[in-house]
Amino acid sequence: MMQLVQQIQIQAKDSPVVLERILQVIRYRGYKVCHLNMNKSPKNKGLTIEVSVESDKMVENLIHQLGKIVDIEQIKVKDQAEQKITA
Amino acid sequence: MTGAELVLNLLQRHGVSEVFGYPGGAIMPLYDAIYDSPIKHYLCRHEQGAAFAAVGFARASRKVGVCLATSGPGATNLITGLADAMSDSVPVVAITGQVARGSLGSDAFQEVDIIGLSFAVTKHCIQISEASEIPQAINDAFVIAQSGRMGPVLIDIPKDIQIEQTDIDLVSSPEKAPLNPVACSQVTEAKKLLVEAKKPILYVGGGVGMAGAVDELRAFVANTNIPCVETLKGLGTVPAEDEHYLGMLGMHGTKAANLAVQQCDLLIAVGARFDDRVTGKLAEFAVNAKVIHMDIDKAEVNKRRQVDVALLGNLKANLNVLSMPLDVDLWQQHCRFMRSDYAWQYNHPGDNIFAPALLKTISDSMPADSVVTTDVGQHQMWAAQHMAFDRPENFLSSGGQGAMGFGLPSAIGAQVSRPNDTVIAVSGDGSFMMNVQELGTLKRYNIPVKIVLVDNARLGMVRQWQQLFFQERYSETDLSDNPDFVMLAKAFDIKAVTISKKEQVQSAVEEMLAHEGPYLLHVQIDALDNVWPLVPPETANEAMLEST
Ligand SMILES: Cc1ncc(C[n+]2csc(CCOP(=O)(O)OP(=O)(O)O)c2C)c(N)n1
Repeated sequence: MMQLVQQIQIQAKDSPVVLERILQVIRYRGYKVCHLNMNKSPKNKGLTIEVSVESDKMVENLIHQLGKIVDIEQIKVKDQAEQKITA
Repeated sequence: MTGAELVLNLLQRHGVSEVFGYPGGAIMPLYDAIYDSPIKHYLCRHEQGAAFAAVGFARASRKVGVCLATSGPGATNLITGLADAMSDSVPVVAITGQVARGSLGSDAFQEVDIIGLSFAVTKHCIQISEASEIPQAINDAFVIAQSGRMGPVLIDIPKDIQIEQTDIDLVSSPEKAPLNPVACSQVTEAKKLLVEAKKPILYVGGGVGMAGAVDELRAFVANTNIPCVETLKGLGTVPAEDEHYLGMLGMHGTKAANLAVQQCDLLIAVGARFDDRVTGKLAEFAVNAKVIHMDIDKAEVNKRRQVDVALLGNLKANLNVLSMPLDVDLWQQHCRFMRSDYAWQYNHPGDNIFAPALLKTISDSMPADSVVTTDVGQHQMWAAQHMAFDRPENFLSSGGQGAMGFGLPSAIGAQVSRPNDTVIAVSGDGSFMMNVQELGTLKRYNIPVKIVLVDNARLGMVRQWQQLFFQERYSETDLSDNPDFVMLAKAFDIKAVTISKKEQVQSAVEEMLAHEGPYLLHVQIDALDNVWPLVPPETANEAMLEST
């Protein structure tokens, strides 16, 4: 199966558990982290997380699973339209 | 007020009047506050029992179940119950004590990183770092547990915060979980598929009951005339006597249900998630069907089966929107004939008790609106097949996890939430021993749960698989050295009777149901009885085995 690398951008509340939760979901759902960058944004005290994942699975399924993490406010696949979290 | 008193006050404000738990060092301040609190605490005899009791409480009453445990081993003992609640989308709030803030991260006595452990088994988890965070955390926990796809939330509270004096005022009233939104974008496409379908099937999962959409679903079935099948968690949604109902589908589903699904040209999944125990070999599941998927959880759509139309959001509203008379009389008739042609047979040679007939007798004799819980194994599948339930809150079984040990404690929780209804726990001799200590809870509070212990002196379901798929190599499934279950129950002052012959069944069931307190009916059956039909793993559902 072809492995695809896709970049996900996440806006999250600055909670102590959110990064671990994100990584746990990525691993459990069968994706591998290739790159990770996290910044605490000074204005709204939120976190901006950019993560590239590798998998032969569609990234949409992962986005929906990540969207269920309570502390995530916004998530999008880079270069695609922004998805508001409604899950 | 102390942090601990604040927690209890807030629980009360969220409508909590009963909790299940077990004390220990790091949660002692909370237990000290319980001493004076109007909240009734049920002391279970293992934290797993407390977690399952909270699950049973929540599922039988559609309220939030609350369980408490101390740090370290107390908290880790909750994990299996939380995993069950996570898989079966049950709103549970678990509160754990934690070592004091100053000791966090120092490998202190009974310190365990329960937050780290809980990621995989909770919808959300919160460690409190200041007493001032308590109101928001408890509020969030109740909102999150009950909103969208429901699930368990864990709150971990360091001991020093429980002791701390706070002057937080409680005037604001607790937030309610928001109503689930209605999705309308794909309604037209869904209606088109419905009108075009010649052989539609409604595949009903546990989500319907959880969404409180049972009435809407029943109205949908009556209006559309559509035949329907249910998952283990969906049982009770459509009344068993309804002519549209074909039974449970999947690995131990009825022949009529599985064949109808395999033949259908449109499958409407409502609050269901295409679990592998339901679909059998996925690539061969309902291959000719288009699929409409109605659910609250976006992540379930296209997870295992690509669908043609997804309707996300509020099931109550979406079912009403789609409801219309359909021209499916011929198909409905075909399904009805399958239902009668393949109806269960209860004739069974010999004098020994036939578990399906026993469970049918109990089902026919139990009062209306009784709750049945099960453990896991053959007895669980027999109960699902041969008992009838008035509504989904009346059949509680560990579906997603299949956790042995669920039956007795979940029955305790169900009985506490519905003290006036009959609650029956159908258990197996293997599973019963997994939380047998909860007999102590039954005794202490005189909780009148009726236990039906189906004893085949084996880990029956595993033994059945060894017989069928492992060349009868019966590795570690013999339980012929079981304890004397009647003596065991009597040690807890619980009335118990053993039966082993068919002629004893009717009167024993009547005596059990008439008994006022807790009761154990110990039923000995043949060790080699099997559950039929059975779809072997990774096999298409029409290729079911019907007997050896
Ligand atoms: C906690 C747990 N451990 C192991 C299993 C695997 N398992 C599934 S059914 C079963 C046998 C259950 O035996 P019993 O409770 O006697 O029920 P029976 O099948 O005989 O009716 C086992 C071991 C499980 N489901 N849960």
